[in-house]
Amino acid sequence: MISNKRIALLGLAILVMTTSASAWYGWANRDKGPRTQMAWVYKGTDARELFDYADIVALGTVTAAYPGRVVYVNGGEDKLPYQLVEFSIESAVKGVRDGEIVMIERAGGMDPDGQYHVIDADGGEYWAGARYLLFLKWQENRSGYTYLINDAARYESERGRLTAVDDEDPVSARFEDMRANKALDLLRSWN
Amino acid sequence: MNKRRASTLWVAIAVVGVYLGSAGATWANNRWGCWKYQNASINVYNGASQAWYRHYQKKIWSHSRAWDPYTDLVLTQVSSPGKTDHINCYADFYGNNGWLGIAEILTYSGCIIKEGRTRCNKTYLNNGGYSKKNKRHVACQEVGHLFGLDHQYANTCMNDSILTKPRPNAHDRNMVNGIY
Repeated sequence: MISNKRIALLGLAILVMTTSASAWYGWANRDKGPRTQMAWVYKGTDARELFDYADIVALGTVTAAYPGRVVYVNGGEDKLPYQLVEFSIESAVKGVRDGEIVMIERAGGMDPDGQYHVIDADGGEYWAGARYLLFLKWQENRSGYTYLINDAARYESERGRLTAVDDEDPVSARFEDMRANKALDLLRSWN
Repeated sequence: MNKRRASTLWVAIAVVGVYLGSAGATWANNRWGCWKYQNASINVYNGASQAWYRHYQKKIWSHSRAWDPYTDLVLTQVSSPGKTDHINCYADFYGNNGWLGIAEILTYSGCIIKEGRTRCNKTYLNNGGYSKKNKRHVACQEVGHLFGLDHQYANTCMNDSILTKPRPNAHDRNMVNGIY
């Protein structure tokens, strides 16, 4: 018969092993966090204010994304590439009509030296074929191009539900995990 | 050892195990992921010009609450940009794309940043609508990110919902000193 002492020692050994494995797993898989941080021009704390600030609010599908301009600084010491994203409007709420295509310009992508710039504070690259609810603003001095207002202005719609870039953001929390149709109804009521 | 003592021991070990298991994934607030430089000695290249050169100088070295004198960091100013243990700082007209500043980690190994880059967007910040204090708030914040800090909501340049506190606070200092 096994004594209580042996049972305790066996349990101790198992727990030490599982504890070590758990600690190692937690450490190895800790979230590194995004690769960029951004200070936004507009950083509101209320979803209605974000809606009022936006020129365009719509649910649509990204149909294509490709390289755009590159900003060269100090003769090329710093290069910031931009990407152009075609956003096909399916459910317009504000500033556009269904069927229109809106061009979004965002920082990120490959620069001419082959250096990839992971700009992910805005949610990162858009996936062609994916659906998004976006709050956009027209660019001043660059007609025809829009930009994403901030990280609370982008929601991916998967199986009819919205996912925010940062679900802890107070504005994003308003739409996080909301059904897209319900969000559209709410937004249209603000129009 | 009786059964009662053995059970107590098991419970104590389980509690410690759960704590240690979650510790690797849990970081204090205001910590940006697990990012940091190898150590407190970091090379900093100020690639901005004119007034923006001075904004970076002020926020990194010359003000009493600038990152170098206020924290344990040893920030060595270098004359050219680099890709190892470097922060390269810039300010230019990047366009009307909704952002005032970006802190970008270009190259890294694990959680160790090799090359970080800060950019202040003069398209907005030099359009007449932003004060010197606002500009220095952004410069202070972008550099602060690369030391491993996230945004926080207090009277500090790491607060991204205001632009009027162009210096780190004691919490930022303690976080940075704790990281390095």
